[in-house]
Amino acid sequence: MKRSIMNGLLVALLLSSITQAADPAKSADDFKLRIKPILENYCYDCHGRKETKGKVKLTEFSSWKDLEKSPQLIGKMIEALENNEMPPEDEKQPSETQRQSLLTHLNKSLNRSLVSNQKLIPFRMRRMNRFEYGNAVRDLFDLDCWVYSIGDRIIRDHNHYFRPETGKMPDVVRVGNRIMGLQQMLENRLLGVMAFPKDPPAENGFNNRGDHLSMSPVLMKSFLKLSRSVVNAENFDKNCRSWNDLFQDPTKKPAAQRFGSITTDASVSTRSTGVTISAWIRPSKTTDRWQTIARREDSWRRQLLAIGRTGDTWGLWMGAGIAGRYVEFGASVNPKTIGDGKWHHVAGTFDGKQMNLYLDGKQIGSKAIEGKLNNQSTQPMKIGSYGGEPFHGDLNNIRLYRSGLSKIQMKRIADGDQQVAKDTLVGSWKKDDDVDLKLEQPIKQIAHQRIAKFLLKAFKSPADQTTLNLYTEFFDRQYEKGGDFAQSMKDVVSATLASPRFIFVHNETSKSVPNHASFNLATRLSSFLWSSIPDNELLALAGEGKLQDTQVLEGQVDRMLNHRRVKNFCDSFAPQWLKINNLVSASPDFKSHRDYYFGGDDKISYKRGMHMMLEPLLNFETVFVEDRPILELVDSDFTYRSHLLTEWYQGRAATYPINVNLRHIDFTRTPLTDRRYGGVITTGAVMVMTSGPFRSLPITRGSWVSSVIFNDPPEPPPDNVPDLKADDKTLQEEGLTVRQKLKQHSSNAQCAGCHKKIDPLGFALENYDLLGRWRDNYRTGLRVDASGKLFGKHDFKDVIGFKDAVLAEKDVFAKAFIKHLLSYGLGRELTLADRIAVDEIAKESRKDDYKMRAVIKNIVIHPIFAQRNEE
Amino acid sequence: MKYRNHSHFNRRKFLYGAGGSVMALPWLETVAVEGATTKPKEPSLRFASFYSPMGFVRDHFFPEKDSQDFLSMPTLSPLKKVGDKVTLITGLSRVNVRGVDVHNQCSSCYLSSADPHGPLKSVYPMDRTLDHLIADQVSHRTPIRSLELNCNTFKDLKESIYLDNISWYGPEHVATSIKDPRHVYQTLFKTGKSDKDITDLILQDASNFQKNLNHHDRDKLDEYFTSVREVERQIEKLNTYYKTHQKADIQEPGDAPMTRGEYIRLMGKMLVLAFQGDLTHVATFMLAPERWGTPQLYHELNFTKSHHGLTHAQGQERVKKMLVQVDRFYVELFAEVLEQLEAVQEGEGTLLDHSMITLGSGLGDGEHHTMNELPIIVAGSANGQIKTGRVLHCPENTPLANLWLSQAQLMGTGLERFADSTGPLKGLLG
Repeated sequence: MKRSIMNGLLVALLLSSITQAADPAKSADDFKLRIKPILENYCYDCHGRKETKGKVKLTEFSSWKDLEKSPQLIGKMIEALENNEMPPEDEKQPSETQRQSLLTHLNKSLNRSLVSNQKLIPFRMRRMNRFEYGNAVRDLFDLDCWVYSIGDRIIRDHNHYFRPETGKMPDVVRVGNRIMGLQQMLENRLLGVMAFPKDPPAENGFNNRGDHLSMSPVLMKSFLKLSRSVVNAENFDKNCRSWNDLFQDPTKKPAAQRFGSITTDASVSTRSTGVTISAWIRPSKTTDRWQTIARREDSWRRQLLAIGRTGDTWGLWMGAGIAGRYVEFGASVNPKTIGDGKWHHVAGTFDGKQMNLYLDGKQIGSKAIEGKLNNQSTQPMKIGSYGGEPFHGDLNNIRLYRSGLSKIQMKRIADGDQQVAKDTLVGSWKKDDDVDLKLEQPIKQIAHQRIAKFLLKAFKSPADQTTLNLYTEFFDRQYEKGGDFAQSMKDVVSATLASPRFIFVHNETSKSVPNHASFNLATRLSSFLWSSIPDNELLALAGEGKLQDTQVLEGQVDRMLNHRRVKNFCDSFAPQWLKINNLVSASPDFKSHRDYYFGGDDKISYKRGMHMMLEPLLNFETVFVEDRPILELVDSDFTYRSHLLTEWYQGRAATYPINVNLRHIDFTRTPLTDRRYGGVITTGAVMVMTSGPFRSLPITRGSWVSSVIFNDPPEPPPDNVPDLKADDKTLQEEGLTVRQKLKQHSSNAQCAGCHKKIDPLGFALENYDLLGRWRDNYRTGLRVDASGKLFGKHDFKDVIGFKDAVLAEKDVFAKAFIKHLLSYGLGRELTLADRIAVDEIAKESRKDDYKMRAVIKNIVIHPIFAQRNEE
Repeated sequence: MKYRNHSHFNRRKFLYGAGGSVMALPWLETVAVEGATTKPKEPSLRFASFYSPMGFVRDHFFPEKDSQDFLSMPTLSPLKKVGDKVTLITGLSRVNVRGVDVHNQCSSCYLSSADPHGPLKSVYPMDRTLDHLIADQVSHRTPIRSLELNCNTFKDLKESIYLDNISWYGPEHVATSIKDPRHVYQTLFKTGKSDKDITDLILQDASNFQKNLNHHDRDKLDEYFTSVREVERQIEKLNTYYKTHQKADIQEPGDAPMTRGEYIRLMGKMLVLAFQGDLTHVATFMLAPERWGTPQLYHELNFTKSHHGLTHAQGQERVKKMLVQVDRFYVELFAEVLEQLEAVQEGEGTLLDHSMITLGSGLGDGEHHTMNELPIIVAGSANGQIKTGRVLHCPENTPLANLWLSQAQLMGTGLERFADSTGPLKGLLG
């Protein structure tokens, strides 16, 4: 309810400013009255009367109307005034009241100017980057594994901690660091599928920028290769959870239905002395992946018989819960023998002492294991199917006994004797004669329907009939050639993955697509929040044209923010916003800062940065998942730390054992009362990556704070910047601190402007050494001076005072953060014209205390993103 | 917020745009001529541009004014073996556009050297780069249009696209470079299978799709069209090529770790083979990316240092010593490529004689970010046209674009102006 009022307000706000703009005559006099006298007094000399410095001639303007033709100039004037850059220090200065009055009027004028010149900037088509491509493919097929493992996604989640729907981060998260950690890239993924190279981020921006994501023959080759290698990966079928909806031959029952199950009575759990699973099998293919013959799920007490490869052994496998744990045992079998197209008998037994495996009546393996069979479940034992490990080929006459049959008994069963051990037989399953399904429609028609459904998802909007025909006819050709339904469908899918409609994030302008604006919005939403393609629900709503309805849209945003796919947003936005990749290459000097390294030497050993990097990222995720005010990114009463990090901040890291677990790191939520820590800024990660090998770099830190926290990257330094010569030795000799040294350096007028802005931001953090640990004094013994003034108005003594100053300027921080988010969400660099939207989004979000979700939601429903009137 | 006016650049036909006359000579004809008994055609010229970031320490690179003895300069002495085929050029400059980052311009604008006073087509004064203007003209001769090699192995990839690329189809349209030696190998020495079933289909799909798009997005889609066609074209041409040519004698690179030197050497070796076998006649080669604060392990020099960091602290003797080693390291690797080209006999000369291989940097002085007095070496005489084995002293602030114009002309583009050129480089031709 509150929301719809808000939208009303927004519209009213826009309308009111439009009416103002439409009537400039009213304010025309105002110009001469309000600002001309001040400009005359303080600006005209250099800008028009005597000189025209910086190509700015202010004397040209005599009314608001004139001035408002140049919004960029007004923007420049505001920037110069806000930053106290103009008038220059050595010139006569307006009073603070005059300055404020100028700013107020110029801001109003700028808004009028922007509104009257406002056009919604259309979204530009761009290709997906490699992060998005991997997500899109995974979601398209509902894969049970990654497409490829890439370091773009830094946090590896080892205990499913990320559950946004709960609104709570667990107290302990078990994580790894993909980019700096040990073997974190070895994870379940499609085999033989190679990612294309990582797309670099834009300067002070993100890697989803339309103007950067172009296409070239070299890249196209990768895309073409991917389109084939994804669906033909050896383990694709097994991991494809949407297999039955797309690839499954409709004349054949899917494995799960083709084979039934064996239902047993309660005697299994009470009277079992062991277990025997006996089966006749005729596999149609013998790849390395496991194929289930029979399996009953019951956590570690599961029982199974299967063929396939584990490690070096291709063989027959049996698994059962014995003496309180799951035991799995396999015997080597030649896949060629078993896959020769003839029927074979296989069996696995456990009699309380031994596990035995049999092929065609002969024992092929035996494992001594003493203990009671743990057999509680009376769930049906499923035949030939288990998740992604279905059986290919035929099964028959599967029998389950509640005792371990003997060698002789197995031989008799293999010879065809049906009467063996009937007293302990608890169930059996026989193949239906009629395996082939009767189709109600021609097979091609079924295929075409599936293709239409699939293309909608892959292309993010409905394809026209001509396009659809291209793909369905391709299917027909392939199917007529080979007669293999699944492979023909895979060929169609390969073409789809190479299509521009899949590879590009696009906004179609054609009205021939019904509800195209809704589909475009669905694509923008899923790119922004999921870095992926829209899911079925979004597409369905788009198809009904409902997505642009504010209430529906808000509902969807909520749903999307609660969906686990939103991890992609955290994985993509947060590290880029924080420029956290700089930590990968941070190299404190190995000799003098040995404790940053775990062992070995500086080339091969692991770095503390591996842990550090995760702290700010987890803090970001906490603010996100728990919908906290974004100000907690600056100052929070909690943080996530590993044991190692906790000790590190306490200065005890040197005592830490070398052989720590580098793969699964437990990070624990740590309540904080010490405000020197918490948030993202003062984390070890940020401190280390803004330091050099020998000392902290205040300017680099200031530049980081300015870019990241205030979204105001400093201008590039001028040429002729001499080396600071601030190594320990020189400083010792000169008896200066870095700060004093820098003061000498930046007193140069040319440099002073910028340094006045960035230096206080960097020196505020000077109490953290190059390894992120607190220090009161430098190594030279001189005291650290972290005092300063934020934006020329908030004095602070130390970093806590600095945090207070940032919090006092929370609107500035919030706007800066919104600009980062908006630029990311729109996939483009912001322009001056976007200022109105940023202000409006900030204003709305302020009402909700700048809570993370409110901020995101206000971006999404704002016209700049939603573009409801899109034609 | 800074407002930037991105003027619209037409991306259409980015592979065969400017030059226009694609396939004027069907490629097969050249092959036929080579095999014929008549007097062999004049050998084709090869063009390569090597880039080394952040300049070279000047007092180790440039000899005294008026001196011709560049081979005794510490950084250039590795060129001794091929010294008579090398020209050192002094006095070349570019103009830095103020207010935007210097390093980004160094690399991304190096080979276009677009007029800094003209309208900006992107954040930086970018344009279609020299290598592509040349490829427009000569690519019909070879199965592969051009080769963009890049020896950046940094894992962090924290820096922008501009610092990592010298070869651009146009403003904001990067010619993707290849960093993985195996990828280079596969591009050059494996024919690949045409996937016509799929490419035919997606091209039709794309042309249906195009109708739904606005003007700007159609240009974007054109990148796609052109790329798909180029992939197919390349496969076709390579297949034809390998019917009459032997595969070069080189093994597919494996997974074994390589030192910095071994890696660059391998990339260089493949470039030489590509030129030798007429697989391509146009290449760019980044020895390392511009700026990139990340420390680099130089196995051969036995230290790990940020090249960028070294250039800024070169005021200190100790640092300068290391920096000079890095400079020399890259020149040595460059010299090795030249020596290999020189070792290939081709008609009456060597492959090097039939080439024009430039090594240069977009910065004159890494400490002070100046773009005057750029370090530029041109090797090979372009078939006897360039006078080599000497220093060509140009007047101060001679536009780098003059050299690029000369090179474009030598490669037969017929261009009369190049960016802010004032004319072909005086005194280059012998």
